[in-house]
Amino acid sequence: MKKFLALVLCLIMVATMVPALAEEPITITVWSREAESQDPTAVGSRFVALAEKWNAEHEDIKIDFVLAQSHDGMITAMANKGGPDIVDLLWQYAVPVGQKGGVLELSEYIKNDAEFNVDDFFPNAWLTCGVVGLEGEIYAVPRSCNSAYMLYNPAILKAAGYEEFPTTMEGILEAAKACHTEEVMGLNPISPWRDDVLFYAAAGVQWSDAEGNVTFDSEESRTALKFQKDLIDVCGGFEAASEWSTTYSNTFCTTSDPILTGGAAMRFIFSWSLASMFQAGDEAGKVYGVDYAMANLPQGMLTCATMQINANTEHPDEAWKVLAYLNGEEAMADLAMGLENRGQLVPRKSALEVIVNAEEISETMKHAARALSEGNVVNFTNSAYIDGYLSAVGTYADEYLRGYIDLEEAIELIQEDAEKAKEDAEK
Amino acid sequence: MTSSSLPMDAKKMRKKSSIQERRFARQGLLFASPWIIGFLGFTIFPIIMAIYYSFTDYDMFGTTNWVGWENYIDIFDDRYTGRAVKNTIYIALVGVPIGQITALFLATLLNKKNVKGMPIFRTIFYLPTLVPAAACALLFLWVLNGKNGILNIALSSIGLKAPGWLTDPKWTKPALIIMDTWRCGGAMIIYLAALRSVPETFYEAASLDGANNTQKFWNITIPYIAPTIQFNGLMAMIGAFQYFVQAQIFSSITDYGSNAAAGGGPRNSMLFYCLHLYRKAFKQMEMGYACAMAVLLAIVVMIVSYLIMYFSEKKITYSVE
Repeated sequence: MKKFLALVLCLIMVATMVPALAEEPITITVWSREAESQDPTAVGSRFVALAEKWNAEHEDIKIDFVLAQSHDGMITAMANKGGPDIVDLLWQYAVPVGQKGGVLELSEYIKNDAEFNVDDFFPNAWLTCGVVGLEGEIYAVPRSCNSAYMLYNPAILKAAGYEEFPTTMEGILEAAKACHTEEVMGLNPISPWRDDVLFYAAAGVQWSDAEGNVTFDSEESRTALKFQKDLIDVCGGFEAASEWSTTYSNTFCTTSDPILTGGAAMRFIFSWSLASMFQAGDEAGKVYGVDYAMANLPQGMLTCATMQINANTEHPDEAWKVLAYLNGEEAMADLAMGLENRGQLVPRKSALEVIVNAEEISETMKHAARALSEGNVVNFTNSAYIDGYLSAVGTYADEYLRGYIDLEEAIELIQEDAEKAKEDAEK
Repeated sequence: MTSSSLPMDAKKMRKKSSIQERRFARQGLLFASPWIIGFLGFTIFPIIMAIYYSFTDYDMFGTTNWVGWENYIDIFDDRYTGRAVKNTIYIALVGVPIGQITALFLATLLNKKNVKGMPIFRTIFYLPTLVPAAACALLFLWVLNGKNGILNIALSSIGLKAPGWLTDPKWTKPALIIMDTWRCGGAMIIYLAALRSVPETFYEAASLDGANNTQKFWNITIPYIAPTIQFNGLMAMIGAFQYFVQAQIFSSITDYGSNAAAGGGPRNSMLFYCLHLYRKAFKQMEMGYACAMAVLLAIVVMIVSYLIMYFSEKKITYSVE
């Protein structure tokens, strides 16, 4: 009897151990800065839905997608040897954190994963993920894009003698002067990214050379700064331009948008507000292409949201599989329809095609998708000293535009500060 | 009398009490241990680590190397630090006195007797303190809007020039001071409590001697509430050295692009010491440098606090009930 009981006990023990011995699925945690939303078409909700779809199809790897995380929170968690497997740090942190060993270098994964189809991305998007793009070290994968365009009121330009939108920076400046009156703002240069990227990209500035040396002291930089200053002078000085911007920026993409009401001839518009602009135009009874229209800058600027693999992950290969899935062709095509179902620009050509062909996507967004597909966009050079460089450009460009220092002094100070930032980073 | 000459009972008593005292001490320590462990782990340890990191090139991810005094030397070479220190001193020397005088003035008004509905007035003046600093900053972005802001509309209506509060570097710090003064209800309540503790008999005696209200205020009220003024002033001064949230929100609205969120506003006129520290720590990931800035700040705050205490103590008389 004792033997029998011992045998039964052993069997029970073995039976209870079998499920424990079975392989547990690996959970890959993703922390994202995307907001939580009740709207199932919002980008955050779409990511969660993509994760749920993956989880339904895969037994070995599960995705835990966590929204509404802060950038500082992610950095701190990673620095403490913790954090999730995948993060979406701000793009300008990809290289500095990567070079310090905080996120994984992804070149090998990208090269060896045929399904990822790296050729589907437009090449400049990779410049936000490494110093020299795909040819060098890559610390992130681009997941969405932002760029700048010109929004204009055709009637005002026509009255000033412009049948077509000018295609050069000089032409835009002349048009701004011609359209500017006491009631109408020609073109206000105070806008997002004016401090460090927008005008420099348009003027063809190379922020650094192939060796990573700071090359801000160039004719293109002078042109970019001078162009801003000329526009500010047209507006009546920096204070007047700033006041106009703080006052009217609240009305942008509403029915009171100065382009729709005739209060401005031209203004810069960015990818994130294209769909709302189209909606506002509709509500105001204005027709796209007639009452308001969009044009490209001679050379557009580019920024990307990116995703990285935390160097602390215990499952780098599985993390790559998840990263490749979340940034794959199918996922990006779905995300491209995001942002409240009005379209989000993504760096894959195939997904941009989806935007261009979708019926429910606005004309403004389609214009942006076409422009992005052409690839005439550049971004601020990524480097280990990028924040110091950006701060220097922002600070001294501002001093120059306010009239506190002259152009040469501004160029010299930016070059000097950026070189110091580089030196500090190299230490 | 030596211990050897103590009677046996006294010796036993002392031994017994000593054992009991030790037991009580052990029990006391046991009960206090959660707090002691927390204090050591979450206060003392971070302070020691911050001091240690301030002598290293700690960048959150890479290897940490000892660099000696290099970070401290770099702080004095950094042109942004100079700007940040100037801005911080401005808030400490201009903003703090304005805030404290306003709080005391309001407290004096709200201390009047025989005014109907006084609790309502007190509540109204205290309410802004309940608004979180971040929400308050967002609210004041509208109040201080150059064109449509209520303040500039009011100034224009009486024929005064409306400044660009958020865009003109000369006016950004006054704009922050206006916002902070609106939230002086916390200090006001403390002053009000102090004013209410001034014995009425002092005023009655002064009245009999023919003192007017101004004389009573300067010769009775101010000396009596001097410890409260010292406390409020000291707290406000420490707050000024740690100025951060309001400036971060204001500059994130007035700055654009990659500089936003810790940009420092127009011409870095809102780049305060702690904002610069945050920028170094989390934007440029120079955590060793940021720790050195934090250590210096702590030293400066300690010195300033000591000086305030030292010079004000001589002029303060604490009341004895």
